Amino acid sequence: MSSTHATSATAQTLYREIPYIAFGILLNLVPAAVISALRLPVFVDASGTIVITLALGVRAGILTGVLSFLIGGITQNPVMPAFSGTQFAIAVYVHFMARRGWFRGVGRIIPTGVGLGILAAIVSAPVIVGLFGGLTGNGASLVVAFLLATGKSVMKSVILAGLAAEPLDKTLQCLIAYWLLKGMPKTVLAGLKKGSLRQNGFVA
Amino acid sequence: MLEPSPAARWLCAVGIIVAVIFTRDLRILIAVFGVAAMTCLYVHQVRGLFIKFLLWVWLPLVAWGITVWGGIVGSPPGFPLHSDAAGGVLYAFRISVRLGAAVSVLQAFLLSVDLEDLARGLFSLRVPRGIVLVVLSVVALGPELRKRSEQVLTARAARGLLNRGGRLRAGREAANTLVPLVTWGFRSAAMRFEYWNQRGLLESPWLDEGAPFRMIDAAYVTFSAVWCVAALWAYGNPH
Repeated sequence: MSSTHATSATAQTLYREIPYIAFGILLNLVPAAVISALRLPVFVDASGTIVITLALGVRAGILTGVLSFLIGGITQNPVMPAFSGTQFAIAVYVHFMARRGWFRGVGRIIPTGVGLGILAAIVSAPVIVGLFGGLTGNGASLVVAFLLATGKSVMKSVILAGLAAEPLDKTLQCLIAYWLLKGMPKTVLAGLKKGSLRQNGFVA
Repeated sequence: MLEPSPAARWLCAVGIIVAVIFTRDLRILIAVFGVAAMTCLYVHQVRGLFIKFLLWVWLPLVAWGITVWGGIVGSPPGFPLHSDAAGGVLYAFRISVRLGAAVSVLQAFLLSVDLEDLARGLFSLRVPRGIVLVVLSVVALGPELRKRSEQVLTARAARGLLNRGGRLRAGREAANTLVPLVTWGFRSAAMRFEYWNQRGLLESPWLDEGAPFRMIDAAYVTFSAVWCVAALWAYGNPH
């Protein structure tokens, strides 16, 4: 009896999170137009994952990240599903750091973002090497080509190129997520399950 | 009649893509790429996205691969620099064709299904209903969010609020621009849950209805499974 109640309560919590997860997925996929209008040299493909992880916790964050790249693979860019593991790692890392107070203020977010960039570069590298042979056809391929020409291995070249680009990209995304949650009306945040927001320092 | 059901499409796509990743024979990869690409170009719903993939992802990858592995490095990975330019070109070509084949199979099988069939396929495969609801919500909400993001951008541009500066300032600007969208998204998410809850949609038995699995589906799935197992047995290592 109590087990049924527990299952029902878990299902109810998950169902409550579903519309937010769906919105987080769209936040990963849609705001490219905003970013291109601002001519920001970043990919905002993880901002939804970061926002949802900070607001609802690690389970919702993982679902947001992984599903956004699986759905994006069908609707936007077919190579995205290969990077869903990176989104998983991003959600886990953000949750871990936020719980330890590393999303409380810009000064703490910058090193957190740099760490996230390093993690993303390392986790993405095997996929870039395995699926693309090290070259994805974007700007980072130029750095990879240069490093390959100096005699470095493919894996080392891809990781180094990723380390050159990802920390800045991910730091900006962490800052954007922080400013977003800080800029939202308190009445809207009050509608969320407050556990994660309180523990991460976004509501009192 | 010969069209596979949604569940069979998912299974076939996974089986063939795994086989494509492990197959090293360039002739097989070219054949799969050719057949799947022709299908994508033939089916109206898939054509646009497939051409976009070819032009924006695949062709740049081919150009980069051949330039780097055939020219700058002049050899495939693991060989001394400039020791085998033809091998480098062949490596780049194989990588590109493999990616093209995997993507065109994925698009040919999945993009030609409509939303209702996509959901029924997922239910047939016993994907948890929470995840299917997320997928359906994303597809339903996407156009609305796109429209609202354009409205927010137009409004901010009209007020001269889209200032550009350094990266940090542009990041702050992006957050300010996204706040109204996220506020709307969170508000509508809360309302949607209440609506679903009141209507009892989340517990509805309708959500468990899958599409029937026919003999022809079994034939498709068996074919892709056999090829997948054969590729795994014959090659074992993707490179």
